[in-house]
Amino acid sequence: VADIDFAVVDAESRARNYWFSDGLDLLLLSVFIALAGCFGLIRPLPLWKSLAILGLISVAGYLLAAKRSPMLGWLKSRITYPRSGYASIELPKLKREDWRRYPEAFVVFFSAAVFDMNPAPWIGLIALAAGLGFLWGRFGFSFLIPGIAMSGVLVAASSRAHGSSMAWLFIALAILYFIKGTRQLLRYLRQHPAPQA
Amino acid sequence: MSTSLQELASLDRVIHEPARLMIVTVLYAVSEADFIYLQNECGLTQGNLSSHLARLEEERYVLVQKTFKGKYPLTICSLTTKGRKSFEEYARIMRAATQGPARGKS
Repeated sequence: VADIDFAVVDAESRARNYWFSDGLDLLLLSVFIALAGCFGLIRPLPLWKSLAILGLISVAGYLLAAKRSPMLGWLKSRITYPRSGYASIELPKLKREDWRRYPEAFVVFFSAAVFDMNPAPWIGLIALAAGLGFLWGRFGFSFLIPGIAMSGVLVAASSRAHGSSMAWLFIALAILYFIKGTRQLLRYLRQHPAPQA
Repeated sequence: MSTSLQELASLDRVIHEPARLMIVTVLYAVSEADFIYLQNECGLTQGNLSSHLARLEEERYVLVQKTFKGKYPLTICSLTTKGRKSFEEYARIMRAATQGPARGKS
């Protein structure tokens, strides 16, 4: 019983991990990043159109991938809660982290949009730095960092670099998230079969 | 007999029962959880969990609400302020008894 504090910390950490155990957030995030990548593939647009599309992508991002998004809640209520239950993880620490992540995500996609219109190496590097910060804060995917860093430096250093290179980088990232999310979801479904009616 | 040891006699017996201690610990860590989550976390049978929740509800330590998340019916449980304070007091007494001055010096 001396470890009562440890038991509370353990229960907190289990609840936090539980939220991400089904991989649904990763799958939705991959759709969001793929959308942003597709935006980068569109040939240069006037600034107001780019910003309008960027706004739509941001709204889609919230609806799809944010921790408290309606879409994620809808999916969880059909897949996760009937199988393994519901637990709220409204912890102050997580809330602070969430607020820190949104501006990072905005900077990534804004930099990508600017890069698409005005391909200057230093803008590519800003996008890269913001992207690394976002990934680190969001998932701590340290194994992706060297690959992204190398691609980003190549894109930024290449005299022929343009928006589509960055867009393909986003699409490649989306595929990675999608694969990881699918694997996680399949593992979760194997561990938690559908309840008997 | 030391004071911290004497305090053990005033332990909250509702919380002190092992199954209920598990339930309260989980509910203390999350803001709310449903019946299935508690069952999985605590490893209790449906009947066992129901009876312990009823006891905790009777003492007004736990609030049980029937609701829906989409079409899925949920029995949501959360600790009341009284339950939270009682658990904190319980933890304080146990901490004082197990980490007394003799152990604290090491």
